[in-house]
Amino acid sequence: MQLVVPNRAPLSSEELQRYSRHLILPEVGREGQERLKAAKVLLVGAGGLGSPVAIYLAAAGVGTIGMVDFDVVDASNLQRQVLHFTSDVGKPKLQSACEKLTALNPNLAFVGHETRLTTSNALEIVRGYDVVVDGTDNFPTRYLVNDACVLSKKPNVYGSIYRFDGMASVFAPHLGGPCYRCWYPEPPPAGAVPSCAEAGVIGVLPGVIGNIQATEAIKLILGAGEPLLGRLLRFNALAMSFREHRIPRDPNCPLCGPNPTIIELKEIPMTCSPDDISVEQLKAMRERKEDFVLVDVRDPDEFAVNEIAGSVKLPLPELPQRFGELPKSKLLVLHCKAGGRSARALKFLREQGYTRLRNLAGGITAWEQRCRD
Amino acid sequence: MTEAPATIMLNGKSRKIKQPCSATELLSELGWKPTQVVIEHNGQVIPRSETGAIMLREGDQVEIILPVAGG
Repeated sequence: MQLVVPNRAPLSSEELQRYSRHLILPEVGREGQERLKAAKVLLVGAGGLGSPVAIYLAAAGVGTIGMVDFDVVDASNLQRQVLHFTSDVGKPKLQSACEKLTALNPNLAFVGHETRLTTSNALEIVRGYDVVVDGTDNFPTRYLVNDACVLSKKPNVYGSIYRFDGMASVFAPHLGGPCYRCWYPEPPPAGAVPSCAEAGVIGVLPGVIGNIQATEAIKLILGAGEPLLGRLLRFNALAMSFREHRIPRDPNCPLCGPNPTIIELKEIPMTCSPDDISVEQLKAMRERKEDFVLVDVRDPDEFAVNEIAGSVKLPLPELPQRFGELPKSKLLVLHCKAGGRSARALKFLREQGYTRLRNLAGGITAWEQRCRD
Repeated sequence: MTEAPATIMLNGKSRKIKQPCSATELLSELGWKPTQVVIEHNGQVIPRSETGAIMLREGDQVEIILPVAGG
């Protein structure tokens, strides 16, 4: 197995003591621990998966951990994002992550990339690291991570979660395995997979899958064992079962095949349903003073934090009793924090006979990032 | 004369399909393109170029592995 971290960094006497249980493992030893210290691992996403991955990699002695995230800690994150505590609500996730990780291991160099990963910055960010761990929460970013990793020949330790199900693998065509596009050449059709909806997730699930990702990242750095290359490991928490699927490279892969059609990073639209409108479209509609009603379906405690001026406040749980307050004749633009609850509100209103409905893709989070007045 | 429908196990649940029916036709009935999913036929991943040629028969085990993005 080709080493992804060829160099080593010497250990201090404090580190020799700290990593003593590693050092007695033949698969790690002093050489492996020095490789871990020299290693640079990029975590894309500081959320459910990113939390356990970061904690375990920092504890294990990975020398440099970079994190890409632009979100702030929300109370609803605390049920599974174990890097963030109650006192961190409202704080940037990267700040919260940096505090915890450097307290856990002061030898760690933490690098924060407080940005959305985009076609213009992904290659530059990824190239600074030896291993990439994908803990993002949406398809466009997952394709971007995959494509950037393939183009810059970096292993991509993949994990994803949904309700009680999780999956993990390692993508690395340069190490003989497939890439994500070998399995899924194109993103799912609009609205087919609830990536933009808040489908729910059992809090322990990212712990299970994230630790598999952390294990694979460490194995790659050590050059130990059999990586999850060409293998998809699927976990179901309700059945408490793991299944392995062998899924080889696609000889016609549009990205890592011999005749690629994807040779540079391309934007994959965030909009994922024909009912969606983007925050930019909403902004333009407001500037044109179009006749529509903006409906905020978040909870009252969220209204207090931020709002899009002029919105009607109607929390999703109250919608079945109060939808009559909304005019059927006007266009209704529904929004929540990220687009999931408003998608459910849209479905409900459609069932009540409303026809002029739109969902704000990315919710107020996207609005604040891209269009705040 | 049309053939009687066959029963396959799809992701652990029984499902009736018309006969003949290729893996691509099953995906299309479910709203998927072969480029959007991984499909296993009796425990083996079907290479994408063969999805149209694999014919599904009575008693076949089919597993469609959908992409998941959550994190």
